[in-house]
Amino acid sequence: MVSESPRVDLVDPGDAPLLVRRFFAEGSPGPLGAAAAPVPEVMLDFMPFIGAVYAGGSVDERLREIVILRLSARQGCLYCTETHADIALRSGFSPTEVRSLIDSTAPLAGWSKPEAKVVQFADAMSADPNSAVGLLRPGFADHEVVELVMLASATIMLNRFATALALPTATDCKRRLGKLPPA
Amino acid sequence: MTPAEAIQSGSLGSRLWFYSNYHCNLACAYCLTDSAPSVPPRLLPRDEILELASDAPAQGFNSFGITGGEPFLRDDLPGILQALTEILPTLVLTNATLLSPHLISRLVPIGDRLSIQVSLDSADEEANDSARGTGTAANTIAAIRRLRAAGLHVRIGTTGDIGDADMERLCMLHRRLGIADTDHVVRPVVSRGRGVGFRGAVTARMSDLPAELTVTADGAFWSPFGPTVAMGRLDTDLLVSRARRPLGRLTALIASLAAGTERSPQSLGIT
Repeated sequence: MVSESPRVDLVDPGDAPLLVRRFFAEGSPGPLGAAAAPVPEVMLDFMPFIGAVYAGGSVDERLREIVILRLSARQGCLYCTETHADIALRSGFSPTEVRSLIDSTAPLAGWSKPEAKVVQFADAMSADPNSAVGLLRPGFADHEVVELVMLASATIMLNRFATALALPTATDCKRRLGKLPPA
Repeated sequence: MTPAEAIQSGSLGSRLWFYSNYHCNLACAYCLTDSAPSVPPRLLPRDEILELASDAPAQGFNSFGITGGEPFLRDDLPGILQALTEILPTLVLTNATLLSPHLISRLVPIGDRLSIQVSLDSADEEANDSARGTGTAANTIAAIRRLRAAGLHVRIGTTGDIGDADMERLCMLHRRLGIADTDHVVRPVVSRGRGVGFRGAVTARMSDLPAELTVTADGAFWSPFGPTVAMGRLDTDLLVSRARRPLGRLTALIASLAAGTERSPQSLGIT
């Protein structure tokens, strides 16, 4: 994973195109939104789509975060990995659990059975998607499988988007992760 | 509200604008688009212009406008104007300095559905040329005489606050050239592009500008004042979409924006 300056200009709130100005109403929507804004007609649907997929349906929030973080690490996306490591820690994951998800050589955390399944599922979505759904069976109903596949697929898309454009992790996130000194 | 209803109600302008290109043989001090001979042309392809134009009447548009850059730097412009006027009346904005007798002879067959709006800022050559370049006023006035002699419809577009006395002299000049007062439009310098910091430049926010769909090589914009360039960088604050077609989609997007926009009492028009 390589950190560098973004490869495109991130749109400032003052330059936000008309169709997507509402996403900038309270300042920058973050690097993903600021990077998408130069193509407003796509951002207009992209942001609500990502919002809906990440907001989730019936799958437990903790399982969803495992998928996002594990997959982002497997895909080598620094931006998504750091951002979701921070989110995971703030939502109650232990540092050991987060390390275990990011570093495949770290000792496995004491995952529950469903959690262990979605870890394997995330690994498969990165390396061998044909085998991924089978790893969720039995235990997950069709609608949960669809939700997890949708989440993983959207995460892979964001991983590619953020990595290709070298999007920078938010400064406050890096501070909380101890990667920058306190303000 | 459909786009046609938006145009009928006045919330969306009835003229569809095209930026034919961004380069220019001049480099005016207040240019919105930072145009100059050396900038990339960024041509809007002829086929796209004509495709959009052919869909325009069904969307409710009743005229076209072409601006730039200097549109007459395009060799194919007379043909584009001919095709556009066969669909709807068309206005082209120009500095006129390239309008040679030969080029004018190519415009004459187009007829009275074509209007040519020529930029002229002062009756005083020195005052005009201070912002537009040495020798520009003389070339422009000579071209206006040729256009009028050829029977073409000419308008004058004046940019900036030139004061009452100079305005009176300018009006006397255009009347002598056979151009009626109703064909003389005056607008302020807008504080965008090279106009930022120019004396008397006025701010042009979305709410100050009538919604007029404007298609450029960079996408579709809220107004002809939208696709401005500052220090070589395109302003995106009045960008509607990067997609340049289909027209129905662009018109629906701008109509939806116009429906939710409160207009300020000040309203700036480019024509």
